[in-house]
Amino acid sequence: MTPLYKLTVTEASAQIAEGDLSPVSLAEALLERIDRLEPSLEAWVTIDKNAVMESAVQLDQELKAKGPRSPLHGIPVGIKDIYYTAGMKTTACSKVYADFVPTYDATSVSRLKGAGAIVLGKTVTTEFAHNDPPPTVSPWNASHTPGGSSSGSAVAVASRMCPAATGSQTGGSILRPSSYAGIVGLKPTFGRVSMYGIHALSWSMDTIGPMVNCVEDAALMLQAMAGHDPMDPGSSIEPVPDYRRALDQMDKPPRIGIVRDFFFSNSVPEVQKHTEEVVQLLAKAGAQIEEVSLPASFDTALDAHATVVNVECAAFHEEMFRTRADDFGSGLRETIQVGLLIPASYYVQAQRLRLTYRREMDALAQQWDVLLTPTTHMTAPGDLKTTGNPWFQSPWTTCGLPTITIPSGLSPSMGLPLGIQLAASSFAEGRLLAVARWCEQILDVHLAPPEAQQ
Amino acid sequence: MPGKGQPESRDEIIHDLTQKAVSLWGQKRALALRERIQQVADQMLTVSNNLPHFEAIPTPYPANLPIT
Repeated sequence: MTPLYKLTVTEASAQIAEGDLSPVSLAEALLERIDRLEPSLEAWVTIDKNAVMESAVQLDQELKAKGPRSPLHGIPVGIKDIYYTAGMKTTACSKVYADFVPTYDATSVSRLKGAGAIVLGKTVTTEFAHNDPPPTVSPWNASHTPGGSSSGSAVAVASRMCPAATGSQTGGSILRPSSYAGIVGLKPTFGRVSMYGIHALSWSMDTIGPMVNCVEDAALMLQAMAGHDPMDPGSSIEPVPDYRRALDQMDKPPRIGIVRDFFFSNSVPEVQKHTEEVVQLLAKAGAQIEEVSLPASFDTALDAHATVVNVECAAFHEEMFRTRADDFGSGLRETIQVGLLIPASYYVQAQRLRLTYRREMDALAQQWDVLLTPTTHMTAPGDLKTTGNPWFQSPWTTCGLPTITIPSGLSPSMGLPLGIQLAASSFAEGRLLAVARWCEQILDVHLAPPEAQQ
Repeated sequence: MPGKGQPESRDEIIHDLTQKAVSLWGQKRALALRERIQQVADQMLTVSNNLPHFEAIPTPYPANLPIT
């Protein structure tokens, strides 16, 4: 029998709905798992065991009386510590917010709770989701970075301390740590999920999404989180489709555009070789594979991204920075400082470039079911002073298109996870998830670090 | 400087940013930022050398814009 901590959201949800598993048992199993692994992995900032068990008991009673609210009923979820959680510390892993307790939930948190999910605890983030390294340890190899900024969420899911967690991405902070951890990470279209109640790094770039162990779980989490929020000016009014149903609507193998420009040429040989092998497997299974050329505006994407992020990050922290500059981590402090130096006209020009770039990339992505690249140019670096390079994700964050990473294998040299990144056109998460699930089934790769195999 | 009739060079951008950093945080902290300032200058140069068509409107929140 599968240990409870190894259940995916989909598996646990089915058992809970059938009455074969109680939310109380699941919560207990995960808390026990956390007790065992957390001292060595440091994925969590705050866990309130009493609150978790209270919620589990309540949801169990509700389940017996009325049935499940949704597929997330009774599912414990890790929440990245930049998401406001009412009555629970939300520190952004920063000295500056060490004692901050919000009085309200982020919209995404209240939606997850409304769907019956349990807030298991707050997961470690790099400080304010920037790039100063976290204390979190990779369960694959402790001398390699777990990545960031959603470090705690990636490690917690990979090591089966929770079946799902939430992340955020401003550069590469959902997909990069997900790929390093060997799990699935989804960054929806900018505006698909409300950013209300999330500590900002860069308002016009930040996107939140789920980190899970399989594509179907990502669909279930997104279903609960997605939708317009009048409290968030960046939130889209685009209707939310049935993502779970979309998974089953692939009537033929997909058309996949391979983006070799930039992504393959900047990958280490091992990643290039691996990705080519993956492409061949997908082609053998019937996928129609075509080469994609990037538009000229791609060449400016990373620099426009950096300009916008530097300035918006500086604006967010400006007031606190006046009196507490030395309480910020060195990397974040430098970003705030350079952001305060950049003249306003450059910020505006960068946003103008983004509009052109977004239109061109969206038009490109519409020509295929998905675009495919390696998720990262190398496996997790063996350097704990870095969280890795987001340059394979930043172009997608800049244009706001939805992307997902799925694990595709282990590197022969280091035995560390590798992933493939799929991108789709705006608000095509249904198609993206369907193709990702198809790829997941063809590749049949299910990774678990040594800790999670115990 | 803006308005002088031609785009700023990399050295000019670095000079301007450094001067501003000195006035805000002093010589020592400005020096510590040198590498980062150089990086930012390169990024700003890319932006200013690739200005989009005059009709491109800055749109920080594009979520509800139609895609054309």
